[in-house]
Amino acid sequence: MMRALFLLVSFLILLPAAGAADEVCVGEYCYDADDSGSFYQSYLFSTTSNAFDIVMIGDGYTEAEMDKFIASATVMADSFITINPYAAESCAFRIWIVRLISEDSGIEVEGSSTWGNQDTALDAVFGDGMNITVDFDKVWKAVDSSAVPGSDFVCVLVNDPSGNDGAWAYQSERVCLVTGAWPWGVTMAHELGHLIANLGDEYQCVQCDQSAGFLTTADWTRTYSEATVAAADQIDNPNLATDIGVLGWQAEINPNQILPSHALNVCSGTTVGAWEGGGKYRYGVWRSEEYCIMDGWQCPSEDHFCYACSSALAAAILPCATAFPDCAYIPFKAPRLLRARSLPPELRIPFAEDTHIEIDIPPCWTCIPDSTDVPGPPLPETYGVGIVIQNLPEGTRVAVYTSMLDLVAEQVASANGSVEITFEADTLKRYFLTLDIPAGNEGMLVNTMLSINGAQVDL
Amino acid sequence: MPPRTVAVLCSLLLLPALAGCSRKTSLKPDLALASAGQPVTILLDPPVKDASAVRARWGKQIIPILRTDKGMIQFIMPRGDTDSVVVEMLDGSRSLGSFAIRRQPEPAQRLLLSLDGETVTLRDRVPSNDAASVDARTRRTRLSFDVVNRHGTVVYSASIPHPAFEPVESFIVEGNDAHARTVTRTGPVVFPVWIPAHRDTVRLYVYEAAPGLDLMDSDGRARRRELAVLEVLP
Repeated sequence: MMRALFLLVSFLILLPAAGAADEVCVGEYCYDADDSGSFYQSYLFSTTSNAFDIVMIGDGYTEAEMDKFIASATVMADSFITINPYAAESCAFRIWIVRLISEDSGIEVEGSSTWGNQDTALDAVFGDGMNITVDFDKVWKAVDSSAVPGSDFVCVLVNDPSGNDGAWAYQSERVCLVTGAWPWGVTMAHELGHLIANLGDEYQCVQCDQSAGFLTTADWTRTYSEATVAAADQIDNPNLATDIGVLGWQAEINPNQILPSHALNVCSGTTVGAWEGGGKYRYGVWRSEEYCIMDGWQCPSEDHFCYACSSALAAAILPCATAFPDCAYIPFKAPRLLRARSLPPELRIPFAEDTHIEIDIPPCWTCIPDSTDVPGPPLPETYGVGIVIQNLPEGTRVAVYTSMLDLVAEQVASANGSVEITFEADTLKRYFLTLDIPAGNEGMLVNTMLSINGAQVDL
Repeated sequence: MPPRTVAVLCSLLLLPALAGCSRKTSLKPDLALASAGQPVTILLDPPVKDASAVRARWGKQIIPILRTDKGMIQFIMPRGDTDSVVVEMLDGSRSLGSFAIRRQPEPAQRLLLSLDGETVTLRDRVPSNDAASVDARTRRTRLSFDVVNRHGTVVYSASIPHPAFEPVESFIVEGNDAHARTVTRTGPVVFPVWIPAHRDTVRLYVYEAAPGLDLMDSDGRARRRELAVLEVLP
């Protein structure tokens, strides 16, 4: 089985210049030289030079699925920009859509058969529940390679064929991730609320109460004081408060209203007051309205931002919105497709129980030819072999032996995990590669490259 | 044949040839200097017959067109690393001519940093039209940055939420029950920071700022913990 796994390793050559003539690479991303168009298209364009530039880019979409990605991105952008206060200040935004191709369709889903087995451009993974992670280094480098004029925030649409519904915002990274399967503008509005205005989640903490933990009626016991203490350390968003006496939206509350607000003492969930729960706590945290897009789970059919969120967002957007109130839609103009530079394929090697690995190095000049073989050029006496292996655990010994167990070359992987071996091979000998991996490593993704006289050789 | 008839016939014969000798199109950009993403308007004289057939390109890169009219084309100034952009206008496959527009230098530089444990590495730097980072509005742990010029003067300071301390929700559903917890991220993190553009090499000081530190206050700034000093080229 182990051997069969290794037979799946595709050895790539370092492409000679002549072979790469049709592909132009910018940084780590490439496009077809004879293609035309730009890498990006604009969905919404504002002429204001200080607009919020939002880049929408996909992961897990193959070239054949680009229409699907564009459809999801435009539906999401279309819906997002109709939600206030984004709608009222739509000229504060520029939305760029970048067409990035992945080798494989669909991102990895933790715990499923796809986990560790998908080759996507940005390495997005759907974690347990609604978490999505991504390689932020690749995200920003792909954005750079696309040459979009601006990129304040990036929204990655992930192609998740299993239909998970989730989204996540990474504030430090300025990146949000949403599923393309559910192209809801309200999701994008929610995640950008985190990024643009530091809005906190307003979950009512049925699902995520950190003080109780379990969603069972037995755990609905109020743990007010503990939750309050914990919440005070965590909550610092303009739409949440930990002291009912100090509410950022106090001026909007009807002085006759009894606080805290509750369905029993107000007529409508849209009444501005002090509603308990938010910031992942059920108790001791206050929000301005019963329903809000920053709630995410409890929204009624009419999705809207609550008063505190709308105010905070408007304050963040306003400086960008008033300078040049002019925006327009740009027609789609056959954009180029951007794809990751051809890197060696990755394969998860489960060597935890087998720390010594042997791989035959092709070609076998002396093997009996296959009946379908076409007669080749005269047999050379020697040929050049180049082997590159990356992502190895530090201390891994990589060696090349002949079939007579003569050591030809060896190297030990340094901290960067890369090993490069070149040697002149004898046509009449067979060679194999060994990897001795230090104990304590539980599997990895390695990149392998093999060049034989500058030509690709199949296993 | 009367001379008048001869003249008319000759004119008819010459007409197709004269029609082919259309006047060269004059291209007048409204800007000589533009920043990436800025709209640039070109006046076409004489106007073209079919504005939808007009394209703009810079080398092999097609430039996105914003608006078109018979006598006007508006395009988006492309991003690049040259001082000027030579834009060629095409009407179908026919070149209408070309002109150069100088590039307004980007006001900021985006740095891509990684943090692994307490090791900070500069992974990439690109000119950027986006705004420089400002102080993060959070009471949580932050990463604080000072940009210091060759004279040792702090010329810019900003902070972002500490990427390694960003909470991540984790949900587990078992039967009818749902567990939930907030977990802290582990492993190296990669994140962008925007600093103002600079002509000389500067040093970027990276600090960890504990929750609640006032980074506008000298005492608060003095209590930051230094993580790294990085040289940043223009």
